[in-house]
Amino acid sequence: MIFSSETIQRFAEDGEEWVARTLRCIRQRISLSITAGVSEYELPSYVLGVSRLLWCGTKLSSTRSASLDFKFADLIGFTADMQGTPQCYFMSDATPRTIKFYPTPSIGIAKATIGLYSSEIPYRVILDIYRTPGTSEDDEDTRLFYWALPWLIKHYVEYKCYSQEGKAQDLELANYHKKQFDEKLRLLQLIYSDMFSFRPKAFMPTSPTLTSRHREFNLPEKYIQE
Amino acid sequence: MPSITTLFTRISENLEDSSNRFYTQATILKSIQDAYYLLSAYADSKVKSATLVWPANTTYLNLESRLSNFLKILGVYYPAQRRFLAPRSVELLDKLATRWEVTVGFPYVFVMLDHRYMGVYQQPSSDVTFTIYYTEVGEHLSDNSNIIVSDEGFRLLENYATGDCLESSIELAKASFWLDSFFGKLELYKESQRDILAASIVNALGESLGKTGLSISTVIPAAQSIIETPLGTMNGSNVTFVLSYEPQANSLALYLNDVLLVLNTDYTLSNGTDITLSTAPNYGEYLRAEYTHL
Repeated sequence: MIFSSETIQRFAEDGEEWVARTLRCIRQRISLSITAGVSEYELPSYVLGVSRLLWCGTKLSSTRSASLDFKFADLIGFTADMQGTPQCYFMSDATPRTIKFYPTPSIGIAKATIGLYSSEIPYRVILDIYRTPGTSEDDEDTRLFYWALPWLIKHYVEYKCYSQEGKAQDLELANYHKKQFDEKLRLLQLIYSDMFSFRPKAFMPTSPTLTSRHREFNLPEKYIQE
Repeated sequence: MPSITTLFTRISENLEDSSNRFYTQATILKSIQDAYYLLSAYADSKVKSATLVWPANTTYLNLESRLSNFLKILGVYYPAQRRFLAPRSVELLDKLATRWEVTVGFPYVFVMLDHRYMGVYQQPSSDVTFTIYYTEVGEHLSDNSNIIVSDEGFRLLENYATGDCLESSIELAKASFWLDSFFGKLELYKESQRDILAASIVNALGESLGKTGLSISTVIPAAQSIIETPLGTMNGSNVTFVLSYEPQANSLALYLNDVLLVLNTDYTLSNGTDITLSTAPNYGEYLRAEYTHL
């Protein structure tokens, strides 16, 4: 074997992370443990970004403005040590995994690991995050699409292996696989964005209520059997 | 429908290796599997429907764990109300109502939070049943699987798998010939699948109605959905507001400051488009109407 299994495994993991960072397609819901009087919280290292934050069921707005203190001072007489129910949160590009609440939380809220998509929503501080891939032992929800890994990541692995300095270096082969990887990554990007487009609209209009015409037809409750 | 055995034979012939001396059946199967995953995911070639019971007071369900090989939603039908739920983005709902995830009421919108979790707004107060239309990614294949694709799809699988096998042997020029053929026809195949997809749904609806020769527009008239601020003055005394269109029956949801108002209690609707509130809203309050119209 030209390349060791450790090398191949390392590049496979690199490739999966590259795809996750590029497409931001691994999303997860986590909760934060909140301490009364503490405004700043460190997020886990696998977090690439936060798309939404719910404070006990209410979606908080985010701000990138570093002058938040002044903004609040102007608007509502905010002071840095003011406590209450947070109205927004702030994340800096300089410290992308630190989250700061305004005003500072006045109550503590425990974190939860289950029920974040259902019963716990009204009672927890929930973050919808983009993340890096988990390990093979982690929950499947934290991995890249199982159906895309075989046809995509192999090109990344071969591109990296053949680019390495050494006897097995072959830049022609490396370039071939780089081109294949880029092309297939573009396809995956299209497939992923299509998952949220709800096409084809030809037979699924945006919001139809079935009208008198359908009642004339005595439409059965279930149109199509599984 | 050609079988996977036919596909093995054709690919072996393309590789000039009919006796499978250089390319084993397992190697070829792996390439066919890659092609099948890619083709089905990109071209929406596998459409399914399923009945899903949505539990009371539930905002999200993980469709990937409930529907095998689930790829993406096409539409959600609510049989009890004889209507499709309106597709919306999470971002839009966040702007309309900051507490939409915990709002209980009449479900009329669906969202995809990510590629697994589907949400409804509003979450129902009792169990309801939806019919979900969705696409699947190709299933895991074995030596005697049935691959259900059109003849054109079958040729695409053959092209990709042949190219993939040659690529693994570093026969890059030959591999490019087959792979270019695959990628060159992929978009056209996707377009053809879209037409077949729409036609198959219409046919199925037509069969259930005992009708034939239906077109898309006769089965489901093209309704338009709208979210708007009704026209009227917010001054603490005015109670009349006007909608831009006449809502379809039972489709109007009217909100004051994100709180759903009850028809004939909090407001009345007359002349098709005229709203009369029971209490006059003050300046700065927010009135919002969501409805469908023809």
